[in-house]
Amino acid sequence: MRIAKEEVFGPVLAIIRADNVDKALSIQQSSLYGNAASVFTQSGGMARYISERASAGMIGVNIGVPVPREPFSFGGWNESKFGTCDITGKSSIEFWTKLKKTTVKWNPESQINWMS
Amino acid sequence: MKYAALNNYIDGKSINGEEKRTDVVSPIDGSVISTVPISGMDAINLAVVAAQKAFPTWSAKPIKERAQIFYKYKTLLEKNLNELAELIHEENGKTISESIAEIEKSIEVTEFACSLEQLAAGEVMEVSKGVECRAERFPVGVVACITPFNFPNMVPNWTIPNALVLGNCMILKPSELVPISANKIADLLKEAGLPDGVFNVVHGAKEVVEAICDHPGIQAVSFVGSTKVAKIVYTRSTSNLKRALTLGGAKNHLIVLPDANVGMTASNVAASMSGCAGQRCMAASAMVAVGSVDNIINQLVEESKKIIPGKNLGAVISKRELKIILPKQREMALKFFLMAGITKYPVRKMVFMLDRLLLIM
Repeated sequence: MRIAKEEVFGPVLAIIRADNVDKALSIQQSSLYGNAASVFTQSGGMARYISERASAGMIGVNIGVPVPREPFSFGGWNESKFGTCDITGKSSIEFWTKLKKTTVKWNPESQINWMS
Repeated sequence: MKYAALNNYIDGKSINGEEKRTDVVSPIDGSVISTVPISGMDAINLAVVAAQKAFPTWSAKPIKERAQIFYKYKTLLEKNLNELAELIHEENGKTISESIAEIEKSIEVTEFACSLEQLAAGEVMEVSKGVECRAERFPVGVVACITPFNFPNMVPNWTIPNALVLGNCMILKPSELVPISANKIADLLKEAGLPDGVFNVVHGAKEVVEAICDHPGIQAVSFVGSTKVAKIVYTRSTSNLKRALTLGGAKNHLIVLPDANVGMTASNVAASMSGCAGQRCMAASAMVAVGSVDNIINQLVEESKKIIPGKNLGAVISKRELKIILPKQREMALKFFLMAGITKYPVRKMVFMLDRLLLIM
């Protein structure tokens, strides 16, 4: 059903039934997107199982809007983001800069090697 | 109009060279609160020249010096928090408390940018006797950021403080639906002491986005919006040999297990679904109910009754968006999936606020 797969961008929630955790995960994993996914449970083991397998860049455990706080970065997977790095936090440093690598011989007595 | 007609902001000056303009409409009551220029390549050319002119001096400043401006900017965001939040409420339609939260996040990302002098330091190592290797970070150059309507202040601030503290100069192309916040950000940056040309705002729509992707003087492009446009901007920018980072849409699944805490789960799911009127890429839009969780769904229905349009539910951005959402909600209502959902909980009513907002309760 389209409504269960497409982004609505409005105050709408689709409720989908799943018999077990693996079926729930396969529903999540079949999405083209991969921004966020959350699990609500009191079981640390189940939270771990789902957060490891969910195909999304931002995971919530008992949190509905799992926006990472600084210095962690904001960014999804799959068709929720194109390009490497993330747009905020530590990962954004890589995007907004280019790295210069300088090699310096500062000791005239240094050994002769392939860099000489 | 409550706000003066907007202009592009280039090289620290208000530039009014555009003939084409469009209204800025408040989703709250449909009133025209300003007008915005719809620019093209000419404005991007001007902005690139300004940014390129500012770049040598700005990028040569020590990072600590650049960060100082953002300490000041952070205090200005705090000082103007209520005014900035009111502006978001007016041009975007989200509630005042959501607008305040947005500014608080802008403050947080600015705080982070002030720590970049620690995080972006280089590395040095003696790699063989008498020989050292050093790695240092340099800014990319002139960068452009294209931002969406749903967070008029926060998403621009995702990139402005970090990119600028790291030494880049920027052209911001905000959504033409919420352009006032962008000019306000420019004012605050100027007040904080940012040199002219380091930050520029060019308003517009498709034509200006294409100009950004194509202009050889822009080295990196970030975009936040729909997946459809994210793909186009990514492909077009990278084919012009630019760096690109483009964020698209989402369909976020909340997997609810039978042992979940009923109250916490229901309130979190309801808030995630309805916050910012669902117009955010972090919104929960699919709840996957595993096994027997009807008690949680019942509680979710109770929570959904607390969502009151105009009180804790803001407006949908525009009539155009509403048209997109409406058929989907109808489809969902007919096919039994919905908030407070499944067949047990049929649609009881649709509430329209001022023609623009709807909610199924």
